[in-house]
Amino acid sequence: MRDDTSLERYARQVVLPEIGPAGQDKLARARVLIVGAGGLGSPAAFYLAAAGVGTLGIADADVVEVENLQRQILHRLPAVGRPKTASAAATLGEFNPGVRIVEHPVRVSPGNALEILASYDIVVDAADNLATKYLLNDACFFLDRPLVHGAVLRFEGQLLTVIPRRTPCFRCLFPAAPPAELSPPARVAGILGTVPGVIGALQANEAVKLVVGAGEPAGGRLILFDALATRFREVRVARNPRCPLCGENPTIREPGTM
Amino acid sequence: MSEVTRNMKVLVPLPQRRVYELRGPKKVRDILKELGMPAESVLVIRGNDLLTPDVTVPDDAEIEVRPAISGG
Repeated sequence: MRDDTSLERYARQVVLPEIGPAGQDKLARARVLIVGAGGLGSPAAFYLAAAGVGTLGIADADVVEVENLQRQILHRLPAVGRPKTASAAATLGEFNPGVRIVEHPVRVSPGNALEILASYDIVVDAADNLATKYLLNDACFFLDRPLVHGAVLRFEGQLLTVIPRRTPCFRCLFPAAPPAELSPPARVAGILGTVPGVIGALQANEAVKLVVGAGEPAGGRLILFDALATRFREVRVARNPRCPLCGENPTIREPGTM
Repeated sequence: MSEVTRNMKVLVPLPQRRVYELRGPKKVRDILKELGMPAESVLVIRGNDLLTPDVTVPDDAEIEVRPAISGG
């Protein structure tokens, strides 16, 4: 139920015909899981909490480090050394007490992915490693949950929304992970803080649209952001009949194989 | 009369931006082989379209090869 305060808080989006009171109620009932409380997860969590998503799960096993603060805007200097999930819950709790924050201070793994993801409606992939990105893609397929994928490196970011069995999945695009030298982590290759800011906000945008049923999800289109050129592009992508997960002869029977 | 030869340009934006010039026409799978990149882990893009390994890229084309990225 929305009280008078929340009606006022959400007034600017409730006035949008695509959302309205019914959409706001959907948001209040929605359960969204963000995996990764880092560069992507921070803006995604802020905007989903701001939008009034009723239950926001935050999964991350790491603690806050000083070098995170350049882009991971959920965390403040005094939080250094604390678990990221606790830091995120404290920040978001102050930001919007009407949102229930569920902390998952663990690494999402093949052993726990299905159990953690099952109680959510939508999963936001804000993870910082390919193993987790493949795992989330697979788990969402088996659980039939929409996945909002995001990834960033240096000055570049990408976004893809996956509606299992309807739009291409991450493995349709990348059936196998590249060798490590082709896909170094941000701590090696670097990342400009605004890039996950942009992509994380777009991930929240996708999740809100999915909850209220507005617009078109970024399915079948890989959105690419080049921060140096200040340019967005989209590449048309199709389901891959040879996809090892959702193709015609799948070989992956459970989540977790890279 | 000298023959004008044009090479295709292959941009690899990540993890470090590199531009390669290759003699064409060439199939995508052969381009990736020449660059030492696994076809299952990269996207090959021309304009707004994804190119499959069997597509032949003309010698004056500009294409992009993007590996899966992991940063979050």
